Amino acid sequence: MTEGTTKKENILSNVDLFVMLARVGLGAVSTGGVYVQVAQKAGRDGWISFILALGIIFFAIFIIVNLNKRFCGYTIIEYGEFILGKWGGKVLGSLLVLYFLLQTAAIVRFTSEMVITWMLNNTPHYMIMALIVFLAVYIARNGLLVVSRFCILVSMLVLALPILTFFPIKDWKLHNILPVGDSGFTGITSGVFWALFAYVGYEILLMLYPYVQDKRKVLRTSLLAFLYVGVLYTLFMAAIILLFGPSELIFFLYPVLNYLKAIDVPFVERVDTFILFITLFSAVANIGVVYTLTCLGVGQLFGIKRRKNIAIWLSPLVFAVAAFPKNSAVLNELYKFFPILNLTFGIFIPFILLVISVILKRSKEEMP
Amino acid sequence: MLLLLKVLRRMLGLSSKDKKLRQKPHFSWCTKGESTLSHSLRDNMAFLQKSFQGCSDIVFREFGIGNGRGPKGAVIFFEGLVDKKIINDNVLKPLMYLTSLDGKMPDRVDAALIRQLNISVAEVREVKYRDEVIDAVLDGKAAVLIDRSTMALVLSIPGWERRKVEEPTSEKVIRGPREGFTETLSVNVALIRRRIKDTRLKIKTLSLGTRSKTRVALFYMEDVIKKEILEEIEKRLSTVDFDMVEEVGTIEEFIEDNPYSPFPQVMITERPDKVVSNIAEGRACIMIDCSPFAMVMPITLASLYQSPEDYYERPLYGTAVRILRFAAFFIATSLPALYVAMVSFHHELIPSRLVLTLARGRVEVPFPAFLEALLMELTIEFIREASTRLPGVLSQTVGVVGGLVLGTAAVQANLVSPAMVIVVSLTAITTFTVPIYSLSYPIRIIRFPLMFLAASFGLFGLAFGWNIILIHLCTLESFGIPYLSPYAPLKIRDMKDAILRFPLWAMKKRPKVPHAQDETRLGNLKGDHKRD
Repeated sequence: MTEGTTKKENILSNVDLFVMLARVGLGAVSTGGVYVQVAQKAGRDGWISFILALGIIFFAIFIIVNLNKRFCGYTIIEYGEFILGKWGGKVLGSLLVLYFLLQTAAIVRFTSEMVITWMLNNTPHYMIMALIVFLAVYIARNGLLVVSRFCILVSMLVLALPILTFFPIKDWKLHNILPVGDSGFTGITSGVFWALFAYVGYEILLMLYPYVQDKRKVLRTSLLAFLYVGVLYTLFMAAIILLFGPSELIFFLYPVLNYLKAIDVPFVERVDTFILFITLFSAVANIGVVYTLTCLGVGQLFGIKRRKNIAIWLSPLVFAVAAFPKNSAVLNELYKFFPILNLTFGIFIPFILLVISVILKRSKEEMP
Repeated sequence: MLLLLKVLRRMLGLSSKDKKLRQKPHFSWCTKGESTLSHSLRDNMAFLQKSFQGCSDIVFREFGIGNGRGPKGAVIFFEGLVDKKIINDNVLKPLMYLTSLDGKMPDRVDAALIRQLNISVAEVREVKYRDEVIDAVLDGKAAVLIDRSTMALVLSIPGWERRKVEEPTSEKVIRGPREGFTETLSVNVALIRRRIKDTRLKIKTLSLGTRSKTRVALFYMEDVIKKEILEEIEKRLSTVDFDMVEEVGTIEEFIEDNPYSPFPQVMITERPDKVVSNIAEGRACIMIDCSPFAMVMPITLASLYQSPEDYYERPLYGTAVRILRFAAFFIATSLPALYVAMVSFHHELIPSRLVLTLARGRVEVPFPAFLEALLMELTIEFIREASTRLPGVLSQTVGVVGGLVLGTAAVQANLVSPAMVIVVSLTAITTFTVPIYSLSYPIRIIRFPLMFLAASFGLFGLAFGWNIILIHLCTLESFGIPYLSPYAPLKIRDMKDAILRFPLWAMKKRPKVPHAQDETRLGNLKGDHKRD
């Protein structure tokens, strides 16, 4: 696969795009604490927050696609220089790459936290993280095409997860979720902020867009992908609330796993551990996508032709960032800044760039 | 220091040095030498005798044409490669008693005339160069030289011992044709030709191996195979510059995409029906002389898991059997690892009554689960290797002794737990469900690192191992075709013939992979009687 600085092979089909977006959207966070944060704010109406947040994500996708449409065939790191000038573009590119790197590290850390909590209580943290980073390097070295294939495989693996959600249906209590709108408008809207965090990953479209074959369908595909993600999140949230109720829910660290614990299968005592086993694959896919884009971004930023080894060189940095928070408490403190970063890079910056490029009438045709 | 710099440059990706593909010219079937045959038989014979010096199996038979009235001639061949009876009856006799109808000798006797009138052998070729004569004789042909003629005749009279067409031993089916390939290329070509009676089935032959000069045949359907794939295969074949080509495996190593992968990237089969159906789907096949195995490419993992029988039996059973095989694949690779992970790390996963039984079985076993599994798996591998090498009758005995006696004895001696014996025998059995034997090797090998990972990190280790395997499978390509297609990248149409096996009338078009030119498979009638 050759990836010159400007010329790109249109290697991804719309199916690939859908799967990658859905994979990253669902992400490792899908089992994590997002539900707790949302439930703390929005109570039993948390699921409505997820629906509302989806609207904002749709808006963000709309902006990103329209921005990229003006510079077809270039990534944000390349056309950023054209919109903001050489140095402005470089700064923007560096920040974006750093953000992606941070996101990679964050997922690595979350995944290893999850493994430590649920599977291997006595294994050193750095060991798990090192293994996950190793996987990230292995997958990122091979480029986008391999990542997209891996995402498809993983998506097939986790296809059963939504069905499993209905298994404890006999324990659902309707009074946990009724009356709808109990938390009021302010409660629901303050939940939206955290619900947005669940959808982190839509911003990879900024980098992925130039690699898609059929550009006309990108908007539709992306919206569909996040509609799918949104439906799943809403379903999970509603199911968790139905089973535990909002007051019990906020004491969990990984509500989805706790939820799955309620499932009783004759030959497996604990379904949740098996789900975690499968979740590890989707986490690796998620890390793979973001880390590959980080490496692509670094390559484009510094004009490096041979990109295979960037993944190796960046890996100590990823590991260091992932290992930075001393413990889960520190991690949870830092984690609160992430939605703000996400909003900045996913919505705010693309919006500003779109406005500037419209006002200054900058588009691909005028690019040098 | 310099080396360090070099390594650094490489790792930074700054080096622009690309491995250049060594381009070698095509080896033609006969190498055209410089020296032509001379007029004088004596000169030619002297040259050939010098060339074949020390080859005790060569036969030079000189004779006089037409009762000694005509010029002298000679037949040269290797003993054992040529049918002597045909040489006597159809070559020597007519030439030695050569006369025209009126009892006189023809004015001029040369190779062209003899070829037309006197030699009753179907395949005769005239050659001009000395090297061509040598090559032909080496290839098991007989050469006829005539004095005062600058042409020699090369006669194809194969007389070597050949095995009959028998049932293939490595891929048996209950239902389906029982013919398997043999060691003779011409027989194998006929087996395929008999199944596809179409002029668009093309067979290219070339010779590979600088010493073995093995005849290689490349089969494909001209109007179905994708041009780029065919060109790629031919390009790669032209780079095989090895001295001995004994088996298709030799060529496989030179032309496959990833030589370090444990997974086979071509399909090795000895069933003509399998080859034929693959050729019809737009794949190419390579066969060589002296090997009963055909090599089909490009392939996918899913196609390795298909047996011809899936198509001969009803679609429902085909599908069921395929699902069974896929399940077997996972059991064969991961069951020991899963057992180790569960027993050493995650007791809580096992239902409580079962965990008690397992614990009771393991009470007196002195080893950790990993060592126990490793011991048993290694034993099984030893038994398998031994029974492959042993003569037929003995191998069964070893199988029984190894499987039953050793297993029972090991349990009674408290060396392993009974559950472990079940796990190991289950993995051993499931390994044999693979329709292609070369795929059973990766399954057997993958098991050990997975066990090690499971012993170190429990289920996380197993997930780590499978992540690596899956990523590796995603990177694999066979002649530009993704190995995991139709799953990744997703090809919905090809799903009809991956794990599921749709009825043939529902598969109106050829699979999207390997990108057949002519996609239509089903005629206009489409089995319409069903709708009436």
